[in-house]
Amino acid sequence: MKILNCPLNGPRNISEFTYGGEYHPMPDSMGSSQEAWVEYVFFPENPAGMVTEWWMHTATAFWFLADRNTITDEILRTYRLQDAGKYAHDKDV
Amino acid sequence: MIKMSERLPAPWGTRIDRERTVEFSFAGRTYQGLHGDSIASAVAANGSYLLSRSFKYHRPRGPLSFAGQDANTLVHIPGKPNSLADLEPATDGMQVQPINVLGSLQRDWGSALGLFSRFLPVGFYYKAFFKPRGIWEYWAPIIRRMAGLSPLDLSYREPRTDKFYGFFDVVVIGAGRAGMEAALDAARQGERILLLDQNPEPGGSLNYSRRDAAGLAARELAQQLAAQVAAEPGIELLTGATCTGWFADHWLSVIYRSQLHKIRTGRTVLAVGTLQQPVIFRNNDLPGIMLCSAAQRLLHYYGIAPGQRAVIVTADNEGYACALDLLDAGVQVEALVDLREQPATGEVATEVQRRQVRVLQGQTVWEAQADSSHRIAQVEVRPLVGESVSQHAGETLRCDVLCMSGGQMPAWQLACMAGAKLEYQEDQARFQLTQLPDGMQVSGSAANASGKDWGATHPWPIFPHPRGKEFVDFDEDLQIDDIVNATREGYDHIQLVKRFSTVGMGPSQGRHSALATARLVARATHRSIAETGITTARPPASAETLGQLAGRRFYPTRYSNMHQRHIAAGATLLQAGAWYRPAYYGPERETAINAEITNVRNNAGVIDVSTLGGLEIRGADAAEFLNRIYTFAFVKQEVGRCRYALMTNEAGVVIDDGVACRLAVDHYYVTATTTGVDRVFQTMLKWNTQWQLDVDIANVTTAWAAVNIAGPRSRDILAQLCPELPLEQEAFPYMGARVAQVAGIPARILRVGFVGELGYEIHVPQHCGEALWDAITDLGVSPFGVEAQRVLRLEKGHVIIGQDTDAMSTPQQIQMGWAVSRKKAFFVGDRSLRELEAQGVGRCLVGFVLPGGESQLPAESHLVVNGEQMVGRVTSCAYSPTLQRGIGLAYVSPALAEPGTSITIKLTGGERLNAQVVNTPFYDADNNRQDI
Amino acid sequence: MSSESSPPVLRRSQLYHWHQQQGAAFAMTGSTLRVLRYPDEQAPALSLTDLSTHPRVGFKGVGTRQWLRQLAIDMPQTPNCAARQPDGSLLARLSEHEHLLLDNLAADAPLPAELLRRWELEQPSQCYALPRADSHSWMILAGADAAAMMSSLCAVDLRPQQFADGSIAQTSVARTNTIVIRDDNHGLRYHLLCDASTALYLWNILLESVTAFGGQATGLEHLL
Repeated sequence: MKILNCPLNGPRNISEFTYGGEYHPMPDSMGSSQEAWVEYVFFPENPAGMVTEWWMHTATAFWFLADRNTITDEILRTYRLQDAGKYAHDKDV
Repeated sequence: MIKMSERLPAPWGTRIDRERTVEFSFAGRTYQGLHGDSIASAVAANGSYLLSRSFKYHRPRGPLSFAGQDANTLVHIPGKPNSLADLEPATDGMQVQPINVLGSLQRDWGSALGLFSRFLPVGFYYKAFFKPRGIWEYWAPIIRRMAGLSPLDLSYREPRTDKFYGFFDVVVIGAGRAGMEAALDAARQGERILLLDQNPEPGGSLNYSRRDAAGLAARELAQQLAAQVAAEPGIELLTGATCTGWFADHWLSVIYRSQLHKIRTGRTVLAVGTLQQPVIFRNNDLPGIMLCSAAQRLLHYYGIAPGQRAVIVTADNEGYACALDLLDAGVQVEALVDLREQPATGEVATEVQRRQVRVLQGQTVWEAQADSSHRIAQVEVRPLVGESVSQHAGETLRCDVLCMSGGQMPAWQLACMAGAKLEYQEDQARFQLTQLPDGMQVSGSAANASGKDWGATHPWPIFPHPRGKEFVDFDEDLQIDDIVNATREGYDHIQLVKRFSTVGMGPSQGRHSALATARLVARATHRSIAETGITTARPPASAETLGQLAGRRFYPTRYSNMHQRHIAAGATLLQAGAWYRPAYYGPERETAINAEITNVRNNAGVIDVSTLGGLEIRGADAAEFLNRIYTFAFVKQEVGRCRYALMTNEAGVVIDDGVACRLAVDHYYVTATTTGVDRVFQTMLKWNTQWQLDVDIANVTTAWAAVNIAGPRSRDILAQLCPELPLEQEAFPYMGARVAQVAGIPARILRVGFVGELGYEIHVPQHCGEALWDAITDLGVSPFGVEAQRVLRLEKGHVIIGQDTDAMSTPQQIQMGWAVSRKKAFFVGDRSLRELEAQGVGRCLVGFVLPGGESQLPAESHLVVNGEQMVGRVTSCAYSPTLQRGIGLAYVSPALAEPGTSITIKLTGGERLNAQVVNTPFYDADNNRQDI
Repeated sequence: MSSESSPPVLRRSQLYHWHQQQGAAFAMTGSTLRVLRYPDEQAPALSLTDLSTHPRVGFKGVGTRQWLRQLAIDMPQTPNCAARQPDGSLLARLSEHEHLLLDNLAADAPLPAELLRRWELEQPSQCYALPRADSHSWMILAGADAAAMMSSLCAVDLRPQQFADGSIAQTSVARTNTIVIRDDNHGLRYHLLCDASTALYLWNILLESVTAFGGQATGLEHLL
């Protein structure tokens, strides 16, 4: 059983969490192109490598982000959305 | 009754209590053993090794390891199918049966199959019994009976089996020398350690193996270390505990006292030792042939001499240690057959020579033969020429036990589950565990660091015989040719060989076959053993029962505060998510539902709607937040008014609905569907994590119990419960909301009409729910259940999200374009809906009525067809007692959506029914009854 | 269908009928009943008690801490910690901003009602009351074996040496969301708050385990 480190509740079994899909900021709903919108709604990147994902600690309904390597299943870090900027630059570790 | 023979004197027999005998039956005969015996050792004490018949050829089999590592000892104990006789303690009155026996254990007519073994090659069953299609159904029960394990007792009920969670800094698996030393080291660092071992006592191989000429050193060391471990408060020692799997982040499954323990640890130390390997020659599976370590276990644990005349065949120095133990126990050692050309060195080997044991250097056992009781009686020994056996007939040696050591294999399973690799060391002729993951350590003999001198190991203890029966895998009855032929059939990868031949798939999971298989496949495919490798190790490494895995069953159930009142009123319950709700009240379903419907239409009824989701949306941006989440506009909604709220996701698909009730400018109370509210709440939080609006979202679903009083009389009823609140149409109109006292209980009252009658939804604090229910029913109001409500809402053409919608349903498709605001800047599904609208609506949800007199009503998901083409499907259908005919909702193609159109519905069984598309609501089309 | 035989109470625990079936002796305070004791109680070493009708209230929203600070309430410094108040009530911090105030065992601490009254009066900015007295049921598990018992129900390490007094775990107990608060008082004690609708389910599960450890359900008197 993997451990996920919840920024609010600390390290817990991953069974305490709900997966929320890849994190992508919503493009401008009216201003973006049809392609960009369709890409956003229907096409997750599903990369082989680092991906930023939404996770929620189910018991507290607390949402946060996790940077995870889909090849090794290693979770590099977990953080609140407001801290996303701090880590945006080193996604390719 | 079979009397057991004399046991060897102490210190032989460390596990047995000579003062306490036990009596049990095996295969219909009564056996006597001693307290501390396993079933297998007690049978052995009576001079027999015959425990089972093999899986395929029904060959007689006996214990190979006396350590629970082979499948030969599987027996049936009532309530404990497929028990290992060499692990299971013998207890008084136990009734043990052999398995896989046709006839009797001694005379098994299935063993004739062995004569035909060359017509039963690997893959035979797949090839012979699967064509023509369907024929396997005929053969399967027959073959399963031939190759069965324990019979299942279908009436058996597992007792409550708790699962436990445990937490340690370090878990050390294996309490032998290396394990105890590792635990003591960690304890000195102040860590909290779990030290576990599957044996009943710590010490591991120190308790039965021999490290010196005198045979004293091992036991002394075991006692010293065990004493230190016992004195160390940081170490928790668990004996009789088996680690069956390693999972991510050092999460271990441990079976202890038949219960599953899930252990989280910071580090894992594997001190799991090695698995002694068999030598592969013709008839190497006869009862009486066992591993050297098995013979030593019999001697040391149970005080049983494995026979009177022994032959030993060995590829390493372990055979020499075994020889000394046998001699000390008074067993005559006929010969020690050493596969290696070079004489063994070291203290133990020297002692063997000193005691003048006959050592046959550079020779092997070529074939073993049994006596009439199936036990080994003699072996033919031949010299080796390189790795091949001499063509010339060799010497025959009489014996009643043959001990073998074909080299060592580290117990690799747990390490490999964690991602470690096995590398083959050609010079030592053994595998080595490498690439261990972080936090894992292998120590002791499993790491090839036992401190014992094994000497060189012979690299090829595999001796094909022209007449076969040299078993590589005892579980699956696989011989050398079976493995080699698999590669010739084109299954040249080790993983494919496994799947085709089933090697390693049996209960012993390749413990004694993986090394030989790797060697055989490597040679047959002209690759190195390192390249060939072994198959993937997966949990469990040893048997777990389904009952242990399932553990105690936890199925959360949810009840409203009024639940006991429903039971008392004779409700039949239905499940909605984890909630239990009244379906209808009374003994007879149709009668009850129709009466409840009629009562609501003509009088008034009350239904428990506590399960309805409830969310508090509070803050300066509350209206803006709802504007973004739901399709309607909320900014201009008046305080004290309700508004329908339809929720779409980013793809424009309808995912929930409810009513938003504005209690203050900055405060909405929003309802959501029973099974949807958790997701709605979570989705709202996820969005606001991104939007950061000044709004607080709270899920108060359970904080409120609620009822709906519906029917023409509902105003009169409510008036009696809150006499101070003005209830006239003007004072409290349809879609109004009030905060007031109802029967002395603080309440929120929403005037909404899901069932299409004058009605009030009354929300009170959950713990006041029963008091509210009592106050209403004391006025003579009859309850109605969910089934009646479903029909009532259908008569009004109201959709249920999730029943009448699916993962493609847009507001337009379900005729709810009116609930989508086009005047606001943004809502979640907005863009997708605009894109979809530009493409035109692909299907429409319409109402339909049936002509009447049908014997069968359409059911949910029955197809709407045009000829043979599917053009839609039914989502809801019920008999309406109000309209006295069948009504329903269905998706149809736009061409069929016009009222008056006739549609065809295909029923279960193919019968077709004609229905007519009509406008909804079916009942009270102008909504006069709810808005009065 | 009504309850002529039962007292005229407005607030009833989700376990009210269970208590009645056991022949519980109740105490009435206002419109609320509390279980004082059951007839078969024998001062068990491990006990489970229903406190669902005890007062409690929650507050959340980004203005919560500022408001509580103004009222000079002693607040835990980090989430998932609880702090005892002078009147014996316990303030549990559940997240950055969310707090839960539990009454003392005698249910006579003035703070829960006082805070709610002040909140209604002052309408503090960005601070929102939560109806915790109804959304959640409240039980207390008391006794030295409590941690060992919980190890078959909960995957969080609740052992005393790891889970200090005042610690909070919001987690899953027997597959239902539960707030676990360690609050020692005459020995090891855990408050368990679960969604009120699952209370009967969780109570039965817990009681089965408590019984397996030789414990019993008790009324309030046992804890005081």
